[in-house]
Amino acid sequence: MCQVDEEGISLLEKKPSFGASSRDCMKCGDRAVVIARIKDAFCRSCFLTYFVHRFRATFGKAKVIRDGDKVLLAFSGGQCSSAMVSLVKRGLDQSTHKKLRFTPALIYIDEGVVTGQSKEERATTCQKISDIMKETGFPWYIASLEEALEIPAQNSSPDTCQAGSSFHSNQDPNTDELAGKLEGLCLETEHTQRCRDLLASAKSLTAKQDLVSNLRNRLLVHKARQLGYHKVAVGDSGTRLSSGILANLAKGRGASIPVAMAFADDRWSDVTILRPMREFTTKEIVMYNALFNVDSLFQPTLATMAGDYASIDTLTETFINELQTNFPSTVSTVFRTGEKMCTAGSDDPDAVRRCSMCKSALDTSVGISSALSATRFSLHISRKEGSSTNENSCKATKPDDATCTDSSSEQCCGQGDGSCHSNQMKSVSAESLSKTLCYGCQVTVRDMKDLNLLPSYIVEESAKIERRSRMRDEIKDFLLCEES
Amino acid sequence: MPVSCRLCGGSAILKRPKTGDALCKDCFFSAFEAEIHQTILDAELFKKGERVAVGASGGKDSTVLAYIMKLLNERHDYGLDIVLLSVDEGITGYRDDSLETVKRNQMQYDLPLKIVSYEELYGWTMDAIVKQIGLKSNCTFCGVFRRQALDRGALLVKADKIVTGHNADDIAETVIMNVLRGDVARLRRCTAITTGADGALPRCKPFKYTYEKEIVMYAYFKKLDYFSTECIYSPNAYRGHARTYLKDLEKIRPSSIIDIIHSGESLSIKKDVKMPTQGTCTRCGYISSRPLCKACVLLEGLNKGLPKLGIGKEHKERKKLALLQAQSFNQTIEPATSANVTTESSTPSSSSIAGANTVPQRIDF
Ligand SMILES: [Zn+2]
Ligand SMILES: [Zn+2]
Ligand SMILES: [Zn+2]
Ligand SMILES: [Zn+2]
Ligand SMILES: [Zn+2]
Repeated sequence: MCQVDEEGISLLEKKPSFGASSRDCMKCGDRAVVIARIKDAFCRSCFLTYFVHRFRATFGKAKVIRDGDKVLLAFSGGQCSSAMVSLVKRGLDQSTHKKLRFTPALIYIDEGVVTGQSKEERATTCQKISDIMKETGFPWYIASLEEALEIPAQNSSPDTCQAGSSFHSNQDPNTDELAGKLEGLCLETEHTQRCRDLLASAKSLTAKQDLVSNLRNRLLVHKARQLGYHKVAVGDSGTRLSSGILANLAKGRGASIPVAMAFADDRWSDVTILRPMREFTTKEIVMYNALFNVDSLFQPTLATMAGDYASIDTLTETFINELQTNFPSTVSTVFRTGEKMCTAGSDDPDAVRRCSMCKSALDTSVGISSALSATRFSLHISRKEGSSTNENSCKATKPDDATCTDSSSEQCCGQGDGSCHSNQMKSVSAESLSKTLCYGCQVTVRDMKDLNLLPSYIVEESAKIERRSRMRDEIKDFLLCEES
Repeated sequence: MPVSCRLCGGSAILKRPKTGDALCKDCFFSAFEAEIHQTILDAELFKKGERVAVGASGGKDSTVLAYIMKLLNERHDYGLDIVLLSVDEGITGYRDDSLETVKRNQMQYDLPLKIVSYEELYGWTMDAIVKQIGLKSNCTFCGVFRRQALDRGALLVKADKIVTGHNADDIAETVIMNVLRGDVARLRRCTAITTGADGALPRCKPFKYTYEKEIVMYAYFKKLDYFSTECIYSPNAYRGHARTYLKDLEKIRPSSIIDIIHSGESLSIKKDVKMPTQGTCTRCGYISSRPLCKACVLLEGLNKGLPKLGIGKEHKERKKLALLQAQSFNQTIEPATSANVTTESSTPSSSSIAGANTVPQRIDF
């Protein structure tokens, strides 16, 4: 896979954009073929050394991986995660003192439902992906995005879950007949339609993209649990993360910037998300893939189909890329700024209340002089509703839903011990949901036409939190000390 | 079919950019005013008996600000002594119209007005500065001087506080700017509703949560007279990018502006990140992270005939200055290696420099 490829080099040299005209490698003085970072010229082999070293150093610095840890690599087929898989493979092949010491496996989540692909199209993609994954020799798995809708609320202890039936792995040497196996993948289930309805219910592309990434992250974590992995590595590049910093800022998700860009994202108690590609720009990754023949599979996404000004994410990406062209230090400046941020008042990570949707720290207990209360006041004053904001939020989210009343959250059986399961058909009120959502997720949910379509892991969990808090209110006079 | 007002059922005349609600003129006015009043109460911006200087440029934000401060002060009995404060940079022709607007506002609102000139504050008009240094970097001057002019002017009128017309759009834009240029110290400060409490006068922003578009709407329907003041020199290119980005965001999701402010409010900077220590200028007392504030450095350059001092590549200019001072004071000065060369060596000469320290501390009007 990594033999010298003369053709690749000559091809690159013709492209002026690679800037590798007549410069010499900064390490060995040979003819340079790539420019990494901003102006470091490298020859092919020194570039490889630099790249592999930097990848390993990113893992090493963080000290979160112990020898023999199992790490699930989230593989999308795209440039970044393909490079990540290639680097892991190289890392495992290295001589002893440089070796990566974990046990990897790959997982692919098929998102064909998002872009409206047919069952057949999705099966073809899965076939191609599985071919690529098989070649790595690592165990591999495939899941479909809509499986996220089957994830139960986080009430039972996570390790009691059973592995889903839709999984395939080449741990088993006899799984060569993939076509047959992919049939079993169930690319058209009741959840497929539910997932379509959910996405159709989002009035903006921004909300839609947020929902998709929420489903994806949940499913990754859920599958990791089922399969017994406590670490999931994702391929986000520094460029992507920088654009994410700005996009999060714009979506009112400033509080989640620190976890969203960290090497080790610890918002989930039992599964850590790792971002080993964060120190590379997308351009560097593309160069690596081109020089060392790393295959990737281009797939249309919501963003590529919609154009630059369609959502906050696409707009921000375009904005950052344009700035980067004119001011080459943009990405690294934004990235470093993000690294210096922390969430206000996050001293004890265990005591933090978390958003029932995105699991980042709740950022809604702010003082009266705040953007949040100013917004509430604006809504209140220009809608003049009575004591409760419930009525107005219902009007805002689903104008003709007669079932949306004050009592919607009271329909629980009344046992109030958290064991109530009679709430499946109940309608969800925006107000009760909001209590357990962070600011940014509240904004997302405000863009939904029908809240009942939200995944049960959000709805049930927030109902549970709501019941607990009502229980607490009832008994609060008899409690002797504060307990979280 | 005409749209009806969400509040009173009368015929709506506008859709609030902030909430998307259709309202009639009167309901919009009262919502707008109630929100500003609420912001003032929630953030406890003022105390009874304070003298408050309203920075008045003749532009839309400050015109509406002056109007609404006067209105709310009377309606809710804040007990404030409100003064309009305008700065005349001394650019021929440029300020004439806007100062006329301010003067008209003063008469309409019946508020005392004080116009302070750059000449009075710094000993230099902008025209004189431009003559010295050419057109190239005068924006550095007008930015730095303008920022301080209000503070210095407010001291002259013995104000306790300055209120500025910075609106939600301005603040959101500043948040983005500070992320793009990696200025974490400013990023932390820029969403505060009151700033500069130590040393200089506190500045507060009653329009912190008010959309620019609604300010324009308010001015439009109240028929408030304002003058569009944009800096006549080219605006900062980088800020221009941030502004365009913000406008595009607003088109995609109107709440973005307030969402960004929320983001800014919920962020802190890690404790181990080094912050510039916030001190005060040894010469004029203005808050500054260096011993000499930017304005004083610029002034010194002007007064010494080295106008490029403090702009861009200051190294060479500092060297020149150090050399000059070494000659004139017959001191041995090490080759200029750092910023404090200027400070150390210039301290003995500071009393001879016109401008900053000539600001009279008392003035009656
Ligand atoms: Zn080399
Ligand atoms: Zn959330
Ligand atoms: Zn009305
Ligand atoms: Zn200017
Ligand atoms: Zn000074």
